[in-house]
Amino acid sequence: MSKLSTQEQVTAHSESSFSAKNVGKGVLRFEDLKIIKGIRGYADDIEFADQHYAAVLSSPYAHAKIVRIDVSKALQVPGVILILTGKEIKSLTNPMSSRAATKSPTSHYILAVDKVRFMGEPVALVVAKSKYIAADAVSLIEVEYEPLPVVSSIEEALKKDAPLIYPELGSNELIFDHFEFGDVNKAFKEADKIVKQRLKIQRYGSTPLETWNVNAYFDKTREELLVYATDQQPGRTVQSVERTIKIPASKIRLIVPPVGGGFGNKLAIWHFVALMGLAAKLCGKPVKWVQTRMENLYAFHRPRGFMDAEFAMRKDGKILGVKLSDWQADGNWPYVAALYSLIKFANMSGVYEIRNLSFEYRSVATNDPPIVQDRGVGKPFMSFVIERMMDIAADELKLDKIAIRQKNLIPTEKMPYTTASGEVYESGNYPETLRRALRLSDYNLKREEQARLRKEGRYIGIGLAEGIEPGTSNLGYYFLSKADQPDYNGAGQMSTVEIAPDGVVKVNMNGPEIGTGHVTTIAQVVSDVFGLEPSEIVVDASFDSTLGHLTYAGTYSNAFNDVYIGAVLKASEQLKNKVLSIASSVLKEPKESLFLKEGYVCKNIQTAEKLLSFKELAKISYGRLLSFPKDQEPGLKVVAAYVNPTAKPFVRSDFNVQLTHSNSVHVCYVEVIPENWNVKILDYSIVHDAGKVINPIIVEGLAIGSTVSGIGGAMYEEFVFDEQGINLSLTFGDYLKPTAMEAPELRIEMMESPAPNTVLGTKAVGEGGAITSLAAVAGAIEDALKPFNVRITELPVTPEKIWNWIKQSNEFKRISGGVR
Amino acid sequence: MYPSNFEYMRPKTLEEAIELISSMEGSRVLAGGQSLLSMMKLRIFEPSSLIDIGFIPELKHVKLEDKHKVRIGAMVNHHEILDNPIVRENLPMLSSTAEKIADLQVRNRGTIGGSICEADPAADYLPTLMALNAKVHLKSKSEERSLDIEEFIKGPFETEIQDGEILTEVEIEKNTENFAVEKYARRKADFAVASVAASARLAKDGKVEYIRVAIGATSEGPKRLKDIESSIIGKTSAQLDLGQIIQNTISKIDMISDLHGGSEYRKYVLSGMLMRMLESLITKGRQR
Amino acid sequence: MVTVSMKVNGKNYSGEVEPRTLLVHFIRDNLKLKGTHIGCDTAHCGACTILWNGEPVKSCQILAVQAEGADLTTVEGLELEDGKYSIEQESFREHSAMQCGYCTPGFLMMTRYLIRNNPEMTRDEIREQLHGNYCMCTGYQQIVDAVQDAQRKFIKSRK
Repeated sequence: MSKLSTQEQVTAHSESSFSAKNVGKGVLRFEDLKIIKGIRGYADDIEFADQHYAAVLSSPYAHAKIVRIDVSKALQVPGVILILTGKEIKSLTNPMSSRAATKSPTSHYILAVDKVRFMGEPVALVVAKSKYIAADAVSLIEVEYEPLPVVSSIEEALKKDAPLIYPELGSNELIFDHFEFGDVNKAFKEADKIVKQRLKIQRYGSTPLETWNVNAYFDKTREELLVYATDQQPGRTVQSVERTIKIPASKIRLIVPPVGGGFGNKLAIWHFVALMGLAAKLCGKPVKWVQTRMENLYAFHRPRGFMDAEFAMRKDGKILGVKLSDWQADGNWPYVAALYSLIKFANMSGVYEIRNLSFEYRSVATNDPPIVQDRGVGKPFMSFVIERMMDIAADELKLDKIAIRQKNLIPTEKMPYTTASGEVYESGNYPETLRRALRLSDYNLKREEQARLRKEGRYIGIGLAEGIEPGTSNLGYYFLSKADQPDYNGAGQMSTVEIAPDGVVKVNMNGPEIGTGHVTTIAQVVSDVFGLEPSEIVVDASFDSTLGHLTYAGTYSNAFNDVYIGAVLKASEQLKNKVLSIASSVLKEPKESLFLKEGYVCKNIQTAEKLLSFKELAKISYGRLLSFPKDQEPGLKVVAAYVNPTAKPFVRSDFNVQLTHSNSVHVCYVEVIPENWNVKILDYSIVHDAGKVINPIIVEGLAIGSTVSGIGGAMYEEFVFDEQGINLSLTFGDYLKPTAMEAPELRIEMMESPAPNTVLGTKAVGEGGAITSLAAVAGAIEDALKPFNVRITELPVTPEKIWNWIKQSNEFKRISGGVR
Repeated sequence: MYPSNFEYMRPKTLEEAIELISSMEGSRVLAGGQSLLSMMKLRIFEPSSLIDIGFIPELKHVKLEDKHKVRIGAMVNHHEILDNPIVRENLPMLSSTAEKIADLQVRNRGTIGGSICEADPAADYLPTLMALNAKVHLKSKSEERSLDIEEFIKGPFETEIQDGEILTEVEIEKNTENFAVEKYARRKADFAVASVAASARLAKDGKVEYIRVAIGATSEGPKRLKDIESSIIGKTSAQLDLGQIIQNTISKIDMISDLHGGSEYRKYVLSGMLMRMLESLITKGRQR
Repeated sequence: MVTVSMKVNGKNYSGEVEPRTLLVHFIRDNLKLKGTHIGCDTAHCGACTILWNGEPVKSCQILAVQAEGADLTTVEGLELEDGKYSIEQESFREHSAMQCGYCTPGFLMMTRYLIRNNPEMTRDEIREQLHGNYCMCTGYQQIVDAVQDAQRKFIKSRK
């Protein structure tokens, strides 16, 4: 079993001579200065000259053959310049391929070819001179469909004679795999009690307020495709677009302006970048596509699925072993099939010592729409399963819910701790996080209040969950189920830091800014390297593929704090070193005696004598090439790549899926109102340990925001489909997001257990609330419904579901009285 | 989302508007547009022309006539109804209902006339207007008529309005009886899972002298519950088995069934609301 | 095409539009004021909120032609004449009441209206007034903080 070695910890830190002054401060965000003026510059705010617009015709069926498409009427609409259908796409592009699946379908293109497989699948694309005209033309395209039997559930998909989503694969089961660690059979033999439960997760997803946008222009003079897009993983998009529409990657310039919310939802936009890129190339005009909200709600959600969990328990509450069987309806987007299952290894053990563990999973194709790596991917459901099982085990063993957790928490002295499958929890103090949460939430007082109010006929409940929030994806885990070795990894990024010719320090992390405070966070870090104020650092808030980046550049998997900070810091320190070397030669002062402060190279720590300004230094470095020190290269620009040193190669017996692991405890206090069984969250407390915090205001904001998004998943949000696979939740009137009235007031307390394997000790921030809240909310509602003897095993917990669960109970009959 | 094209007319007087609507086939009146534009953006509805009645001053009045009759122009928006002193004083039940509609921004645009003509079965105004026995005035080139709201609303999204007619005004008798208006929806702006509007007056001896009850979100549209009214009137709360009365009525009603609530669940919620609200209205000493 | 004239942020505008042009598109595409956003298309989310004769409305649910003669304010009209931030802008920044910022202009316009019309709202009342504006990032807590602070600042400015 591998452990994080001391040597690796040293490696991570030794690159940095960092001393924190602005890091750790609640600096107000610089981004906000633009936002409050309405001049943030989102993708849809950008227009080319002679801008044209695209509109998509989407399939009204979940499964159907396309018999005929007639675009003649649409083509006659004045202002329409191009219409693409599957026919053109089949001849001009390559189909999409899958990543984790061993076999790739060959029939899935960026527009439907001959067949549609989900409601909302793009069938045709119109380009016109205005968005209104494009929409008019779309409504005039005639498509004759021949409906096919719809596969709307995992169970149906796996039946022997089930219609196949991809006939060329021969099965709807895209992947099946089984992993085992430790001695699971022995653990189950020795158990006093086996606690079994099937737990379900619904289809839901993040819905950034800004929908997907692509604006593409093919410049004939440069033979270059220029695209603005709301893309969270633009590095990969460039590769995928090259493969799909056959424009060389070096001839694709993809720019991502500030994004109006990401949450993983914008990781799947690449096929629209390809589609608009192709359209732009064919029609010669700049083509802008702004997704409608309905189009945004059609597809790219979290998959629905279920997990059969078995916990082998000793009667004192100790977990001896765990068996998990995961079933995931991956819809039809083989591109990311299995991802929700595989990433569960990142937090499969939760915060507990579980040495004997088996996991099997099935990725199943259905006529559900495609999925995307939504906030936390499979981790929220994994955490839901573990924490629900802890509550259920406590119930069945008649133990206290806190006590059973304390019995199994990974002791702090075992940190860094390697889980049964090889995931390394690099640091953390789980017992202390729990203690603090009990204190912050006034847990004991709440228990007393609950008992008192119960006597008054009120249904009050407390739920608690302790969760792991992994970050930084060691992406190659896709290959766990394949024979080949991964050819890519998400554990690194590349960034650029420069002192510009005018002496200003400029940074380009070269990743999408999705609203999570990267500009300010980076300004804080870089200002500390150069002895400046954060406000003096110019940080670019966009991605540009013509600038230095690695293949998997993007803002995803909770990795910013690790790998982008790592890359920016590395580039900054290399640049600082260069600055000092040049200054030493120019000033004829020993390098060791020099330091940077307030935009100057200085000497003498006590008096801080200013010797050379950055401005002068830049003049020398960029222009005075003949008098420039011979042993130095002119220019003050450094491009550096940083890779987290703890990413392991993938071996089935020992692998890490993610590289940092924050943790938190959520305590939720609810009341259920018997008239309609609606749930009101009365109080909500979070103790959050995300390692070293660079900016507490930003981190707190992310913890609170992600928690409310989780509450949405726990109580409100579900994409509902009828038996024909028709999505019934296509507006915000039918897909319910929490508003300010549903969101509770949250109390939050921070802990800091620095990560030994990141340069500043930072860890994942941004998904934790979405991961840990599901079980806390469900647990609280179940606790409130204790008199009705309800076990909550699915989400969202809606009032109608509660009513259905309890209406046969004696307690319900007792309280119903006059009204039946 | 983008509506399809149409011809746009902006009459300045009611007369002009009526002239336009009777002369242009396929035309549709545009009031505040808070429902209509949604349907047009989805292209569920594609009128060939829109007659915008938003610039007609004579549709924007709120008047108290003979100290007991409130007249509200069709183009008065929800926020004005919630805010207007005449409505607040003489029809507190109506202003209380207006507060429950959608959100502040939508209330600033949506109009009472538009809402009535839309006749959404789960809309907030209709049960209240039924409980208040409102009348609507309709005007066409040849005729002016007035209908009880119950006659006017034929069913979900269906009204008595004829081609060439414009709803000009709502007329409601002053009503300051005790009332209760509630809707249950998971989020405040959502259409009701169940909604109840009721008002009542008790005699000195505690007998119910007057009662009106109406509900929304049934599959047939908003409904007055006359059975319940007649079972209650003339009796004191002690003489009534309210639970039984409610149950008898509810069992005959079919509620909307959709992803916001199945019919059975909605009935359950409705029963609970009716029980609590009516009990409070007809029990002496419990009235507010 | 129909001619419309309106006042936006104190300036008079007039332009030719197709009658079907939504007000939000007129503001964004014709007037090039990009601070007003489209989030849902169905008047739920409030990202397109502007003030119409001082009162908040959702500009995605209004035709540009309906705004004939109206006096509109968008987020671009909040800043004071001397380039200083308004009370609403200051409060939102000081409380970090935004993440991606896409919803922020809508919330700022609501705040402009609310603090002038009901400067003594409780936190619950603020939440209730804002329920027609969605924020997918913040969980609303800092937004409520900011509106509370804007109320305090507004009251102080009137003394």
